[in-house]
Amino acid sequence: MGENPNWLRKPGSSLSFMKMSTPEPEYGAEESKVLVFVFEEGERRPTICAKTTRTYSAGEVIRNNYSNLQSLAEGVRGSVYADMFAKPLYLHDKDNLVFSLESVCPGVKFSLLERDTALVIEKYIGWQSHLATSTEKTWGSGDITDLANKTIKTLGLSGDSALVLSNYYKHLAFDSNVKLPVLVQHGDFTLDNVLIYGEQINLIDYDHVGISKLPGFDLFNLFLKSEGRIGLLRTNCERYLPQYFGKIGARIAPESYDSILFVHYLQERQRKMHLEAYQEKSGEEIVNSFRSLVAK
Amino acid sequence: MNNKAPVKVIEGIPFFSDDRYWGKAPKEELEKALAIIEEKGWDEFKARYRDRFDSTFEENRADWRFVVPLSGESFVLDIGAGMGRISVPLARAVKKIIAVDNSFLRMKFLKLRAEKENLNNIEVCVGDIFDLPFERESFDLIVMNGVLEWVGVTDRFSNPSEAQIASLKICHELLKPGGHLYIGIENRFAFAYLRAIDHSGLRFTSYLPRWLANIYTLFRRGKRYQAFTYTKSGYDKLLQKGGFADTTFYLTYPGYNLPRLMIPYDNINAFAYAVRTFLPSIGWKRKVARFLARWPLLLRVYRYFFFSFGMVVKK
Repeated sequence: MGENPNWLRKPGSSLSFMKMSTPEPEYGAEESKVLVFVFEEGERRPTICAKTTRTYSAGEVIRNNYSNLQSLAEGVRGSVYADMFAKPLYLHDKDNLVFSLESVCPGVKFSLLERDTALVIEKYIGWQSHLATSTEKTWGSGDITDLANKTIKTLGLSGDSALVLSNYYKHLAFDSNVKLPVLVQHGDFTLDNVLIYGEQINLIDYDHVGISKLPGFDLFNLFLKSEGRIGLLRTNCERYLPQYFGKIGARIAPESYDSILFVHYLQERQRKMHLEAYQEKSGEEIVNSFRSLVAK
Repeated sequence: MNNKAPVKVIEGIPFFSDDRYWGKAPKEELEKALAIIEEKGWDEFKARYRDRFDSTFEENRADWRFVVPLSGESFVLDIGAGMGRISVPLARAVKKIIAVDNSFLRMKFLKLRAEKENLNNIEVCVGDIFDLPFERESFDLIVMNGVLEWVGVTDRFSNPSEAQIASLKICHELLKPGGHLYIGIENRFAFAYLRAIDHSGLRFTSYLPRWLANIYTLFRRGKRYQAFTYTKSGYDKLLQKGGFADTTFYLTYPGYNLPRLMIPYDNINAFAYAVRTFLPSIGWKRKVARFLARWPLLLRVYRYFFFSFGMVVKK
């Protein structure tokens, strides 16, 4: 570690360490991590965060997290969004030991919901529109339909249930001229993973970066998981999605939003399918649960 | 490593002192549960006794190890190992663990658990801290998690704190030079004791002067007040009397038994950062905590009433 003395703000000052174990996430206990924050004497926030797992065999989550952070950093290098994520510093993966080091994002969690929500979404959309300027890949209606069908297949449903989902997707009005840029999504964009620092936002927890590259997945997740705290899913979608799609240069009619939301919903189910509550559901039940979500 | 022979060996478990059962559930229930593990397996045990014993299968009770210098070559003594919630996760990271406990049944459970997890670096024995058979300077780490407060509950010493100091001296002797003692324990003046019962089984006894607590427990329970806890400075003094001069204190949240967060006691900035950054994002508790975190002086005072401590003590 001595090869990069600039990691510390005040080299030579005494250090103290704060340990935090992440709760076992709903996506799987193997993703549980142990974080050690390094504080330099007199500093109000930590300089470095070390991440590891309890056993080497569970270390994939650290490697993924680090590699995701590297790709996020690459996407914002030199831009005004460069400080929106931690900076990857070092990955150690040998001698039966895996840990990563990264810088620590400043900021605090949400307090004033309405003001903070508007700020967070504005900054998030800014980041996504920055990414959109450097991507040439796009999703057409065929690609999105393929994605929907592939996702349905991975849900492990019976043939009948899969057919119900497939038919429901077809039934949703979908603009055949749709064109959406392929954009990296944070993958776990929730209130707990956003820090607010003045007029800046920082996104933390990079385990699920890239889980979807279909634009809107993050916002769908944020609205879904914060429902009741920052407003209803439908209201938020109507309020923010036109602005979001407009800024990333997407071509999509508002009538097609439900189709996209349904694909996001299926992707979210796919991520949680190992959980008991998400198993043994029929196609009808899944469709009904989606309908009741977006009907509010 | 041992310098004396066991008094007896039962089912492969050596005894260095008498068997004294302790635990949340009655002894007979643990006996039944062990029979189920042996006859029907762990799945059946989990199905029947999921939360009945403090034998959870979570691995995070020993997460304090990330602030203690340890390696794959470390030798560890887990005193009061119970059903192995610390020994098992620790065994995955060190060379060898010796787990010692007063209760034969709890050691038998841990032995079975270690076999199930294929952890052949855990050795168990029945013993009291004052009868340990190990040679001087045998261990890199000694663990006393939820133990030091109970050490005073003995007839070997007239005063509980004398027993506690004697136990610390034993640990000092058993540690290798530069080795560490880890202690997880409650704060005597924790706010939590305003609404929860103390180790005596009664309310408010930790807040009372010792002599008064003694009279009160004699009157209410017919026994002496022996499970002493202390403030941070009280622990400091106790450790010094036990021969230790280098202790790093941590505030453990939500408690020493599940140290999800370990905040360095002396770093108020770290405490404020933890409050501002790690508490759940919404809710009145968070709002109050964030409000308090604006004034370091308040946090400084609040530390005196925090629920529990984790102490990393260097020899």
